[in-house]
Amino acid sequence: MSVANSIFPSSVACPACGFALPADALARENDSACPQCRAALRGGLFPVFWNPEPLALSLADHAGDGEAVCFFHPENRAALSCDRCGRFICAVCDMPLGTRHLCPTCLSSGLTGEKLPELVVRRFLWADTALLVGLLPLLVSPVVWPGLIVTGPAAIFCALFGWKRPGSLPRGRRRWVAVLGLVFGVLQLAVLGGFFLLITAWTTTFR
Amino acid sequence: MKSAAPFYRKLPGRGLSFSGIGRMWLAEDHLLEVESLLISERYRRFFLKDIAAIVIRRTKVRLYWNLVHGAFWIGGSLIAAALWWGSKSVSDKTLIGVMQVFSGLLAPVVLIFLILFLINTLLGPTCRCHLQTTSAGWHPLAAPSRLRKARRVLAQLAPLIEAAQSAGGSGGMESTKSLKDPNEERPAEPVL
Repeated sequence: MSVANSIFPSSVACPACGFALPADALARENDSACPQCRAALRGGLFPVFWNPEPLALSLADHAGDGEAVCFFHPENRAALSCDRCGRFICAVCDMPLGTRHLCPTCLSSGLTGEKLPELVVRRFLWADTALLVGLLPLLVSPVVWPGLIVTGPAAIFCALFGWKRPGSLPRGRRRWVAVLGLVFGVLQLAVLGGFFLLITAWTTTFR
Repeated sequence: MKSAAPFYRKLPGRGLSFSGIGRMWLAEDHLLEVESLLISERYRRFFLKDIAAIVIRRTKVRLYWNLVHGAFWIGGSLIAAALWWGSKSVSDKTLIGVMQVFSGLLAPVVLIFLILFLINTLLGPTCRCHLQTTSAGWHPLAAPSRLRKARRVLAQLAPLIEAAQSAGGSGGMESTKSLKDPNEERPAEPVL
């Protein structure tokens, strides 16, 4: 919560200047102006704004006889099961991830191996790189033809190396882009090969 | 064991900033902000049950871009017209040729700025969207940057956020129910 919101619980801070606006000043249908910076604002407040969930105290109960216990803390009663591996976990081991609840092991393995899509924060797009490098000489100029020695193999490498790598998170692995990059890379090498053949033929003819 | 990637739906509008082209995607339980730099993407997630407020702030970016495009369009047009009319009043044929070539070269540039001016005007007023979460405070969103699209996004998101928040923390509660609750099965204390 913002500072303004913690001082005046029923207020919302103006995103432009931080002025504490009365919460009922914001409407979804029409604009309202901030009294301080005169910024035209419109928006919506949602139930969690009015009733913020109290911070959960991670206190685990001790398990009694015959009760399910936490996989990591055998003395604690299991509160829920991991949504990934199914192990019973206590409130201490519960790692909420959106609507899912994970155990610490699954969370750490997801962090290291990019196995959990919810934890991915950055992706390098090999297919898009292949297409960009494949198209680059066409976009820049044919004058930079010696660059084809670098860009052609680079486009092919990016397309093949990234073939099985995960692509964009929302758009998925777009293999057609990699194929286009591969085609342009091969085309560049073909142009370069043709150019060298032409020079060789020309020098032998006029020797 | 690998988790299946969630299905994402593209939300209308996009934004342009120094950190790349911004887009918003909607999954079942969260909103994904994507900032793309052609060869790499950066992601930020906002879970629907954590979104406390969304505010759309009208900005003057369209006006500033219109001023820039308009200045180049009008300025370029004036220079091109001056060169063209000026070429008719000089007698040196070389100078006439040079002036007309420059005038001809300026024409497509002027046309590009006119098109940019028209596109920027037709796209409508600009805005900045801000999102407040229960834990992280305000966050300026990378997209959408046009008011019309932002209103559409808000109208689309509001019922989903309200539904997610009225449903409560489903995952944990449901899975908790499946376990044995010791308080339920503990026999009542005998009354003496």
